[in-house]
Amino acid sequence: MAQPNPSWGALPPLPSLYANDPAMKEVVEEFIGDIPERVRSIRTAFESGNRVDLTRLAHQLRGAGAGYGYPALTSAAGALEDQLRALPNDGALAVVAQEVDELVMLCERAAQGGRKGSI
Amino acid sequence: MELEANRHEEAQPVALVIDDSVDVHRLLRARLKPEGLELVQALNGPEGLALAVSRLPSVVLLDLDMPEMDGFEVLRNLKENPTTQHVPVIVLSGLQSPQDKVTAFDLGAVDYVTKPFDLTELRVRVRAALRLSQLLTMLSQRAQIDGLTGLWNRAHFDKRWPDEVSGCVRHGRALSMAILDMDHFKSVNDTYGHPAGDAVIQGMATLLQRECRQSDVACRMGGEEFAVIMPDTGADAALVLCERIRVGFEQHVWPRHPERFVTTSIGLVGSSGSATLSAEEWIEAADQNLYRAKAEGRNRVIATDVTPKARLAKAG
Repeated sequence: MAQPNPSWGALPPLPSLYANDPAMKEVVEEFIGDIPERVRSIRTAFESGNRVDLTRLAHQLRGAGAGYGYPALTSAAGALEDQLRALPNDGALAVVAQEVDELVMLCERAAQGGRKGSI
Repeated sequence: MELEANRHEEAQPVALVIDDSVDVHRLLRARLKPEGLELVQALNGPEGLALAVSRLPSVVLLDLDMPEMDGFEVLRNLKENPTTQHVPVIVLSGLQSPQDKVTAFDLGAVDYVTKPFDLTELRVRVRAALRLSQLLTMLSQRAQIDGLTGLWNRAHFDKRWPDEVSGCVRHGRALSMAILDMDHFKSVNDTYGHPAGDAVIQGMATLLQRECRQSDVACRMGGEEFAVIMPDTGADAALVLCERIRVGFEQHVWPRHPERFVTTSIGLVGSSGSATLSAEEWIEAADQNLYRAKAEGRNRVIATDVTPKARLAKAG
């Protein structure tokens, strides 16, 4: 299940590849500001078994992550989206718990990178 | 007066982004800023279609995977609407199957970029679409420009005039329109030959370009007949302009035939606002004034003020 992982604190913050790009500073900050809400939405969708919402959220992060300078987010969101689309209609979401954990962890690390003034 | 083609080239191009992802809007806003584009953003299909009609963008960036109305439906609507059908559309999509791409191109997309997209690559693709848009605009304007004089032609007048009249009726704006016809033009052709006749027509065009204001629309309607649309101009001010054109033409010295002078008759109809004439009725009234100008001896302006309660018919 996607529960808070105590080991996250030990992982380093994830800075944006565009940390030194003045054209991107404002939008990356906006993205980081939205991360807590996105993480809440991902957890809620997963825990309530809302596959449609979870697929949409993964799809959005897959498309946007690399654009903000986080290719790892695009990869993790892509893996989750592909898994969700491959699930049978009545398939339980528990099988994607690991992908959800991975994605949430990367989101948290990106948020930490932003809070530390890395961008 | 300048041709509107020049003004279009100077305007900041508008790029319309139709995508349900706030991220895509943010990223495009940041990455397309150096392109000098005005970015207009819609989060769903219906909103995007409305903006496409009201803003007439130079390029549309369209997502396919949207709730309610998907991108294929939006694309179909854009291409079926005569107002937006020539706007280049670049599809931005996470859908990567060849069939989706084929469908998008079949529906009229000019390009297809898969998400996650490289923003530098997207920027050059947008540039290519803007070049296409400029070429299409130029072609469409050329089709409305008279080859001999460089003025707008009859096709442009027919397209433009109803819009001007409906603007005048709807917003109560002033509007005038004059039809000019050279006097005894046939005798110029018969006496001096067609090249001389062409020179006289070009002389009138030069005079119109000199005398008309930036906002006026001068058209060659065909043969020796011209029309001038004067937006935001009442009959009195339009009469002053028409008199200046009439006198300027009469006094023109033709380099190869200085002994010959050519005159023009002008039928003018104008309103200071709240006119109730249809576009066709307005043309008919200007034609009747032109006919009267010819019948009363030529080389004159006959004007009618159609402002409600205004005095009728004055002759210059």
